Amino acid sequence: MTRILAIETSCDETSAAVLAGSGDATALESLVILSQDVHRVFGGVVPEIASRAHLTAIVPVVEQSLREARVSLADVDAVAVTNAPGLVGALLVGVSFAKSLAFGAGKPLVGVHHMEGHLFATAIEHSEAVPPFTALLVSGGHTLLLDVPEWGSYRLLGATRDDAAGEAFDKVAKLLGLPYPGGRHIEALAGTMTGENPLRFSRPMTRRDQQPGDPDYFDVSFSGLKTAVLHAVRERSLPPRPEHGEDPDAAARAAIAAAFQDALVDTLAEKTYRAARLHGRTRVVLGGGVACNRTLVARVAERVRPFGATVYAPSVRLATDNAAMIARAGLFRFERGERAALDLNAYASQPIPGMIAA
Amino acid sequence: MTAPPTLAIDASTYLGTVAVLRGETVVSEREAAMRGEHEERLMPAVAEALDAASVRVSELARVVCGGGPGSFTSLRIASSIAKGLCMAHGLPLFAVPSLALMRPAGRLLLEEGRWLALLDAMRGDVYATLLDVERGGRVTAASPPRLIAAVDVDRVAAEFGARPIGAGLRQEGRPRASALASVAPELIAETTLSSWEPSYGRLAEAQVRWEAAHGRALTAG
Repeated sequence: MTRILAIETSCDETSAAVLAGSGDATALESLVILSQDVHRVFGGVVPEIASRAHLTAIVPVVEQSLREARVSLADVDAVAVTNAPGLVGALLVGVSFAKSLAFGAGKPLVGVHHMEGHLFATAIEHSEAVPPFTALLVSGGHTLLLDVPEWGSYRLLGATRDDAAGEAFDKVAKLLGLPYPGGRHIEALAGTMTGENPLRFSRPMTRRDQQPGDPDYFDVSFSGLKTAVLHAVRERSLPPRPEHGEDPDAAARAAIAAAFQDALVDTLAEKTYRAARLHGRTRVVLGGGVACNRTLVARVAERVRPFGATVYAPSVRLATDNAAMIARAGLFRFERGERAALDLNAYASQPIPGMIAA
Repeated sequence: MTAPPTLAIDASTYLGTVAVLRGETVVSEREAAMRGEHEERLMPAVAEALDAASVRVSELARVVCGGGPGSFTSLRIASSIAKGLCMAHGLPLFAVPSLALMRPAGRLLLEEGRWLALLDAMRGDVYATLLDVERGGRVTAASPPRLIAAVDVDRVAAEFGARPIGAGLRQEGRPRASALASVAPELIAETTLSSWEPSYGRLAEAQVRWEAAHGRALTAG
């Protein structure tokens, strides 16, 4: 049995977790996530403010994770830390802290790729969510469609050509006068839509005549969809949404939100279906903050059900950025004998280790 | 009997420095270019300085971190390293104003008198601190750092009867962790490990703009 203490500071969540186990049999002993609410006023994450907040949060968050797991640093076998991709200044707090903590405590250190963490997140809660599977990772910064024949081997099938799925949610939320981050506000507003939606946006890059091997067979693009939303808002001359009280245009806004969400999730469901079918996968694993969207989970499940595939999605805490998934991926890397040196650095972007040709 | 070892770290500029000290004796010293493209060098420098001094982290009496102002990211790397070491062994974390660690290039000590220690704050500004130095080179007082225009340096120095020292000045100098050996104990303050952060010298640019637009301070939460 190996016990991992993991630290994640890639964006605006300071998180630490303790996880113990071996192979795919693991138990999450604690997970602490401190979210920085301050960025809401900016409508997006401000890197310098996020980095400063990580520095004052890191010690209490790590201490709490050890306390909740009822272990001390001495009981930990290795320290895992996210070192890419993300906001470099934010990542550097976690990386520098993890390096000195591990060095001081005489423990090995493992660097973890944030997106590989998302691939492992679902397996913490669902023991069946293990390779081989098709993975759809959807967050504010990434939209990746992967085939995963085994842990550590990742075949990149498709990605977004412009906005990430979560980014599209945030931008459309802004157009509709909804707060940041926009995902759950759009989903809630779309949920108020009653009856047949008179509005329909086209599903980008999902023509029936596309073939595997076509460059756009798996890729997605959401910037056109965002523009379509902008036109819909303008055509209806929707006034700004009132900050307080009832919105007289709530129905019109709900129709736009629902039409946008439908187009986005249908596109992702179609691409995921194509990936699972082509590679004969019977398991589909979702990850990333947008995997919190229940319409997405239901639509993907509906699309892949005809050929007997099951969809696994993480709970909200494990879908959004968290250190539990870093601990789980860190355990995998640790068991493979991987160790990070004291000069471990942080990187804004980096391919997931183990990427194989499509 | 030798004094218990202190680890000093400062990264207020693009050159990070590390020293292991016993009392006023510098046992080992290392430096590292900050923000390397492919590797982060300050942590290896810390390990090397400890190794050269044959001191384990658990044997340290305390860690003293340069408390800014200076380069935001570099300050944070040093602070994060200091916090991790302290947490690993329950060590106390102390902070010293980075400008109190200013020393002339090629020499260990400042001459007696009053100095205006300066660090580049970008956009035409510098961070400035007045240092009082007694005979023998000990820094006995450091004023709170102020942001002043680089073109005003000579005027401010003359006003306070101080000699300017800093990077690119006639008296070339930069902060060095080993200079902690000649800083009066009153300038080295114990911090609360969990909540401590360096004095960055400036707010984040986005916060400055937000506060200007809203006419009030941005509060966290």
